[in-house]
Amino acid sequence: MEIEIGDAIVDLLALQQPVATDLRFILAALKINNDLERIGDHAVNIAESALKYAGMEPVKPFVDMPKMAQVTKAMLRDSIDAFIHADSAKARSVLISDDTIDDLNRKIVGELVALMRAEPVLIEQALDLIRVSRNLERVADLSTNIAEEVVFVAEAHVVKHHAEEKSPPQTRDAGPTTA
Amino acid sequence: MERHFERELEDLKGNLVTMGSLVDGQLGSACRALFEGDTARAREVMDRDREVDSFDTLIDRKCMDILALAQPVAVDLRLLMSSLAINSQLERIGDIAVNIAERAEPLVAHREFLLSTRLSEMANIARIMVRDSLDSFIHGEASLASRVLVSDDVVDRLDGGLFRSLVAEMKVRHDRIEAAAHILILSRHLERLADHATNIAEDVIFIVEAKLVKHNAGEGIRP
Repeated sequence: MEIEIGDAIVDLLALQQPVATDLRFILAALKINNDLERIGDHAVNIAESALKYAGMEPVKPFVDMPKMAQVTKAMLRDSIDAFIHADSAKARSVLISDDTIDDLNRKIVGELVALMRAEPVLIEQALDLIRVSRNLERVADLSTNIAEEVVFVAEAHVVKHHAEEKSPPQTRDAGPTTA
Repeated sequence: MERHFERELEDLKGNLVTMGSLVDGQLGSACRALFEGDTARAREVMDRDREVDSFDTLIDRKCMDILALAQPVAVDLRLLMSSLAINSQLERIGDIAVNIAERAEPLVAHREFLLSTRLSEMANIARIMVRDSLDSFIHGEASLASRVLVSDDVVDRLDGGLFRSLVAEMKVRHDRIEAAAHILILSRHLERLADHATNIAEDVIFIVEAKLVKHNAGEGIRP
């Protein structure tokens, strides 16, 4: 499906020769296509770890991991919704959630490393869970990328790489392809 | 109009080459920082990442300008799309360099253990893959790009082997559990690094094929 979308984008560019907002939209779609494909890969990684984990003795009851999964799924859903509805405000709200995920991941990995030291018999389970946590963190990151592309399309303003500028700029950026 | 467009493409390529060189340097520094336990160098890598990010934004913008103004079709469009793709790959490689540098400090106290694993071997192969993929881009050398694709299997196998040996180590040396966890994560980063080099190599092959088509199409067909 990623290839189909990529091909469709090339066709659009060649045949319609869009400019300005449309061009930004199409190039954003190109990047989002790529991000979605990578999210798919991370989903597969999580599933692989789940399979391995299911075959072993379970570890301590989950508290943080389900929360992390829930927030990540919401971020993904919101970033795609923001794209579909060209909702820049919603996209910015996704960017803010990323810190929560980073904190949760650090906490979970820290606890799992401590668990491995305390109960070495659980090393393999813990490593699977670490893998899941890290893959969730990557999905959240990629959702943030999608949200950044949405902001770019709507405002012609590049948010990415500027973690401190998560609120709208005071003056409009005059991008090269504004109409 | 024709020559101006060609010049724009040359400028774009120049930017990509410079970015590639920067990223290659970042990787080299990051690996040195890690394997030599040099935390100051690690911090330099992290600071320099904003230069990589600036290039990423610049190149994206340039591609968009060219698309909007020159409105290329066919082969030229393909070249431009591939440039966008390579730009993305380079930016991600830059991020991996930072990820590697970040692990230098936590592993400073475990250098002996770190150097006893095959991680540095893996790092060397992955770095050569990145360098070769960039060289293949600079010189339009599809055969070099193809060789990069072959190396990917080697890295995947090393990653698998490293995982198994580290798990075994963790079970007998409980004092090494935390260090081993860091090394496992680094192994994943290197495996992704090899993947990105492979993606660049694939883009290069795509570009070279597009140029062959352009060359064979001849001058008379151009509008």
